[in-house]
Amino acid sequence: MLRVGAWRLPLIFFCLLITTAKVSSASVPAVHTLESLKVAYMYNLAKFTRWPVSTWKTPESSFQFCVYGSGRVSNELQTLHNKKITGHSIVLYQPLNEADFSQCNALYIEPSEHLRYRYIISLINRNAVLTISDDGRFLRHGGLINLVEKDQRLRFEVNMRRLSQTELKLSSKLLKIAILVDKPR
Amino acid sequence: MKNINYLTVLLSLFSCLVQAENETNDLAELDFDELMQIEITSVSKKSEKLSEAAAAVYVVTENEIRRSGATSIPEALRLVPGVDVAQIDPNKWAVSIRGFNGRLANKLLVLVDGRSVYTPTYSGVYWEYLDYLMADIDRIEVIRGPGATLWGMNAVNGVINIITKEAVDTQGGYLSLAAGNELRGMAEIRQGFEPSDNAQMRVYAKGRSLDESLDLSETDQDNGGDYLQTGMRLDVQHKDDQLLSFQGDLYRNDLRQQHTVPGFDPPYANNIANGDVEAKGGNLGLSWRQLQGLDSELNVKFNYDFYDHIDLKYNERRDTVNFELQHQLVPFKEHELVWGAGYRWSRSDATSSLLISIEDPVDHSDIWSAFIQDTIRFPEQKLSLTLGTKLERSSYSGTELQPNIRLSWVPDEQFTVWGAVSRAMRTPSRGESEFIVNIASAPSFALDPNNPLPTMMQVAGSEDFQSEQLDAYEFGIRWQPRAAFAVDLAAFYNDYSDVRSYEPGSASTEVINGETFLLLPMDIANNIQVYSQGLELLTTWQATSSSRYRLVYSMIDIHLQDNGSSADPTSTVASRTPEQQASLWGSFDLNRSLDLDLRLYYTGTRSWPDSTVNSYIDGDLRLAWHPLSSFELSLTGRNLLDSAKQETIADPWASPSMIERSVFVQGVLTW
Repeated sequence: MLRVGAWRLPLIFFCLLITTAKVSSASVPAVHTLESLKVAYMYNLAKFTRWPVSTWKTPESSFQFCVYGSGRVSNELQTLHNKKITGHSIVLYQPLNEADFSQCNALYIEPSEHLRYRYIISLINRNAVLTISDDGRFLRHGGLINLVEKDQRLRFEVNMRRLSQTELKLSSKLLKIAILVDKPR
Repeated sequence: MKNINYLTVLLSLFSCLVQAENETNDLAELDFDELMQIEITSVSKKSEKLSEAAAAVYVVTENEIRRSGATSIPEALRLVPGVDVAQIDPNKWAVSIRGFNGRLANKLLVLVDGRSVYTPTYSGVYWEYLDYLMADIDRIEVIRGPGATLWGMNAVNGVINIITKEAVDTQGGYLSLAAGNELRGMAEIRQGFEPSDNAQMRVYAKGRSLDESLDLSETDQDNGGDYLQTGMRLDVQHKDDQLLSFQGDLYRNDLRQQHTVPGFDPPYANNIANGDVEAKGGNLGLSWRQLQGLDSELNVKFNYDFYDHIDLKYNERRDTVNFELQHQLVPFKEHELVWGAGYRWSRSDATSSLLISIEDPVDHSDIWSAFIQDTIRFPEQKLSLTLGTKLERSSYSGTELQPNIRLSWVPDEQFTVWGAVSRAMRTPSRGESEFIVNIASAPSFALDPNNPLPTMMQVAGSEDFQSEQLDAYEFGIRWQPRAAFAVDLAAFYNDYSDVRSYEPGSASTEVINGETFLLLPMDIANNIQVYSQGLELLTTWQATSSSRYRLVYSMIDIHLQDNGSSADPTSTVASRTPEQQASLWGSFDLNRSLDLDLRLYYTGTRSWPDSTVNSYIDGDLRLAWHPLSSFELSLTGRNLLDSAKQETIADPWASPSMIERSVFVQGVLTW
């Protein structure tokens, strides 16, 4: 059995815990989830990117937003369904075999699949796919854009060396606010 | 009066439970200028997505390790659901899952990056040999219940899988310095770099010095310790589909320990002995991973491991070589197949002492194993079925089959129901097979007024001792009604057979150390049957963007049945496991640069035939200030509610210790 006296200190401890909770919850700003913010960035990145003219056969062709791996960001990406990129409706697409990757216009890879970055990037049409992740390792393995947290804000890094090897054009506005990386490390 | 106190606490608890959830509007419609203004408030905001695994799994994240203020692995395991952690003395820990705890907890398998650190000499883990940089640990996966199909023998009550970060995640520098009363000093340094475009590397070193604990009369014991460990890891990405990893660690510990040992000289009473523990060891590992398409992966792993352990009980040098192959593939739609094979060879060279006598110093053992497991998904029914078995052959136990069947039902994103039936074996240790151990002595006439000889109690290992077996039945529910709130409940019924017993042999006289003793032998046999059942509950709640709570409760009920003839000391196995444990962890981001963690925990009573460790409530606190992302200063207090208390008793030759309140300051610099 517990000694009665033994309860006193834990109670004080517990009250402290609760009080702290109340203080720390007193001023809660409207919170957006980090995932929804990341998805908003991806949508805007795609909006300010120009693909080669030959990318879509007809104006009705859809914009294939590929997602590899599962996680919160992938789930949140579903909210982009049917939004428009240069007039093409976004279709979220999860490639199931190697050949499917040739369909992608943009590709998000979950950081949990980081071992496969190089492998997956080797499967896409490297010239015309906007590749995005939110993992410091991504650019090093040939990715184009990495979402990073900096000073409590979300920013993005662009792998300039890779970009110059593609036929994608990022708008000057985009490049102005991007963190440009010449040699990813 | 007391009731009013409780009422106040409850009321204040409920008042902060009432918090409106914030809804998100469509951020995608905002442009960059607006998006860039949005402040990110916290790193891990929501509780993680529910695991769909058909097993009781908990993952200790990097963030939890940091915010617990843990300076060693056992500290990071405290408060993990279903894990029983008790400190024996400054250097020794008892860690177990679902009962059977002790310094020699033998039903828990522990792996570091897939390398088993369970020693076959006594079937247990030398926790003090695992002194990694806590900041280099990526996560600790804790699996409660048998994991023998995948991990093999000794994964009986659980598996603890310590996974270190890849070199790419430890680029740059890290320096940490800490000082306090119990943790007298600690220095950790690591540097990561990039030898070439596709290779990353890190090297690290860690040193620690621990203060002594108190004995039951509150005087200092002679059991402090100094630790030194260093190591490296190199990861190479070869082509697009191959990963090579090369790692190694080396350590040296100079510890002191106190034991109560039998008296071999007049007056032959048990006495306190202080002595050194000198441990040296290290390991080298090479692993190669080949990605074969999207769903297939081949892993080949090789390890060499050694330790050299010198203390007053025995000296041992052990060398182990391990080879493993594992292949994951999707042979048909909705099937995920994994199979593998392994071979382990181990050589032990042990020297006798007065306490332990070993007939043949050198012992070789080997283990062959193979396993196959298929997970079949039935998307229509939202069911997932896992079937698998391991076949293992070891020189201590012959061939064993360790199958499991697991089923999970995930009707929607909020709910998972799972169940499992599995078998696991615990192999005999070298000690149980062949060591003869002098446990305790008594002076002439002390036990029997007609006996003029001093008495020695002796435990004798036996070649006939066989594996212990567990058949486990498990069931669990995970429920996440809201993003910020999750409940994980697991229940189990364990049926153990052939558990170790000590059978009293017939008394004889024997000359030990030149003196004639009346010998009371206890022979090791497999005569105990154990049944246990229990519940483990975990509740996580993200109350606001800056405060999180975790409530853990576990209970266990253990029964033993003796099929032998003994008046049996093993019955203590049941009563030294606390029936109930509970903890509450509140994590608060007071502002952008100030974190507070408060941890409160309760552990039930443990009892031995002649002593009891009382139940206790204790608490930890950590306050951390990080004005810059590259600098953190923290103050950690442990065991704050008691100036000193006993947590458990070491198994043989116990010399009880009281663990003192501890406070330390730590500064961390990264670049």
